[in-house]
Amino acid sequence: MGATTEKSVFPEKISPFLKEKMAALCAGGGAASADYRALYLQYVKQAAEDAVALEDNERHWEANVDVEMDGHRVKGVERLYRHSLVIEPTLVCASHCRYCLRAHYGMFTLSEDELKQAALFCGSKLVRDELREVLITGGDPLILPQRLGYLVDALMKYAPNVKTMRIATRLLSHDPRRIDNNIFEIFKHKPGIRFELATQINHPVELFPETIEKIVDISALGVKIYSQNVLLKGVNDDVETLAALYDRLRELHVEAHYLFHCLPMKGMHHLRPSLGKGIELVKRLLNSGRISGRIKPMFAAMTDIGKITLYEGTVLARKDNKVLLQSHYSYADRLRWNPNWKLPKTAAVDENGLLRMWYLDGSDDAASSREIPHA
Amino acid sequence: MYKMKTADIFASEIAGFLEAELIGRDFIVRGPSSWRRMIDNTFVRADESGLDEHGFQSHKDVLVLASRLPVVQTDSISFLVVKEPHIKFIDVLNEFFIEFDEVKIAPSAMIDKSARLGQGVAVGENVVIGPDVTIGDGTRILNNVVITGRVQVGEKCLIKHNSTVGSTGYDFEVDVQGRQVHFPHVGKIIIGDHVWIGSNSSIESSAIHETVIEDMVKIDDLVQIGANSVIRAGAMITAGAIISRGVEIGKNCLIAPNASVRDSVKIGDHVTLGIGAVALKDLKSHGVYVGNPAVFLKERDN
Repeated sequence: MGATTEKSVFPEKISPFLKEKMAALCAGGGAASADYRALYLQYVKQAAEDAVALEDNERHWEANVDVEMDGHRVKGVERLYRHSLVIEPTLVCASHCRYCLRAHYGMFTLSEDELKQAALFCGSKLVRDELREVLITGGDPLILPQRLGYLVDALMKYAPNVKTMRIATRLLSHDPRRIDNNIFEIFKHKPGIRFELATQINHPVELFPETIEKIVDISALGVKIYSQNVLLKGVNDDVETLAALYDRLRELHVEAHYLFHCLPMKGMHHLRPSLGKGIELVKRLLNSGRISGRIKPMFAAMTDIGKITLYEGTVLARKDNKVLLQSHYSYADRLRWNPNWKLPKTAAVDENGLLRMWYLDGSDDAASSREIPHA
Repeated sequence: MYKMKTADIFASEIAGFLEAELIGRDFIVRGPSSWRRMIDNTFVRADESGLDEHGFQSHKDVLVLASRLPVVQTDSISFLVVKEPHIKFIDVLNEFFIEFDEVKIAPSAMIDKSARLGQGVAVGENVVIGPDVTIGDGTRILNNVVITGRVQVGEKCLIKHNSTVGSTGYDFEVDVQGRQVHFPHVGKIIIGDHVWIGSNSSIESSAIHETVIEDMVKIDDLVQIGANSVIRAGAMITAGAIISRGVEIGKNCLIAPNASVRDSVKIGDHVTLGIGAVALKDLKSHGVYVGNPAVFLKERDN
């Protein structure tokens, strides 16, 4: 999920639906209320974004994850793992999350022909023996239901090896009114395909009545919804908020997936807690009986070599504000899955052939995260 | 089949969809309007000939799709410069502001047990689908359509209200005693993918072999396609056209309203047959033909 329109400029974009909700929350509980702040900090552009310090990445991957077919790059397709790959039909979203990992990417939308090429690649001899699922993300693919439907049909036609299609969206909270029959039909009449909807609900306030209604509608179609959230300073970096969030998600049959450490993107210092705080929070959340064991998220960092689940043993060393993380990704596997892949300069291969990488930590400097929202 | 929906879309979303630079402010677009009757917070396609004269006074937050910028711009209007703005306008309308009906089979539809329907086939009220009929994935059949005989319909087709596909052909011989003998039509109809068949049209089954409608053919309302005819891919046959039996119409032809084609005539590829024209003999490819009988007027541009 993510979007932008111009390199290095990530304009504030808040859907009319979210604006209405924010106005109502501000009028009800005030600008200092936790609910209002949870939305404000996620969507309102802040001066702190211009105070670039350590978080200077313009991409979330340093490595190249593009793929090629017949000597040409397959636009909108990235591969990092064995069983799955990523297709991005569009980088457009209904709202801009300030910490978006694609905030500084160029903007594109795939044409039907380009979507067909992506599907052909998924069914090609290059990948079909191992590829079983695709993550359709962006951008928000649900804002373009015709294109998404075309892609799903093309995958079924040209890549029958793909059995699971995961679709990443924040439209459930950005503007659930746009989730209509055009989207429901995509999930129907597709025997043999498992659809999953990956959403991101970071705070209980984002479970608006309209959001819940669409969660119920989509779930009724047999689509499994899961939430992969982001740990954000001032939004959800406390046990009480996280416990309330996961309780509510469980009631709505939404599964927990990753709880991501906020990416080290440019200008995001004010939203990134430290890894240590994140690990501590998750320990308290998971080992305190506060939430059901059936809705436990995995705390993870998205790094230049892929996602790394975080626990104390993951952190091998610390230098300045960087931590060395151990993964169990094999360098040889990575090259086999994507021959174009190059070892990022932040990463190294250990004696067992596994990847480890230096990752920029966040901070627990409260002052930096507490820019007071105003009405 | 579908309806217009109101949605709050940022102009920048439309720009992103079209991969075009948004020239001007970003604002909310709630639907389409027309060049001559612009409405605030809508998108329009420019009348290129009047682009510099419009002025855009009294309009606010209108997104204009055009092939170039006007000489003078105003703050209240934003632009997307795109190729084929008339096509892009339709793309935007379809993607953001049209909601299709739920795909379902109406309870009053009568579908023979031996008929084979693909995934996601929509069947309207009172539709009859007979034995041996095959319907491809994603095809929509609207109310009162009758499909009988050995008919194969491709994927993602649309057959509009009241049309018949597979009715026996009008095929009589008269013997020396004046007895009218009907030639029974037991052949097939093969319809490709993405074919559109308008309302109240008739596709006759073939006598012995096949009546063929290839991929992407678009047939308007009130059209008759005679037995054993072959309509090649991408042809467009507009309202009131009569295509007699055994006719062959080439790829990407345009048959204008109320044109007629005599039995067994062959029309080449990329031919335009003008309004009300009557084709009595074969027509060569890439020509525009008009009149009764149809005669060559000029070469067709595309």
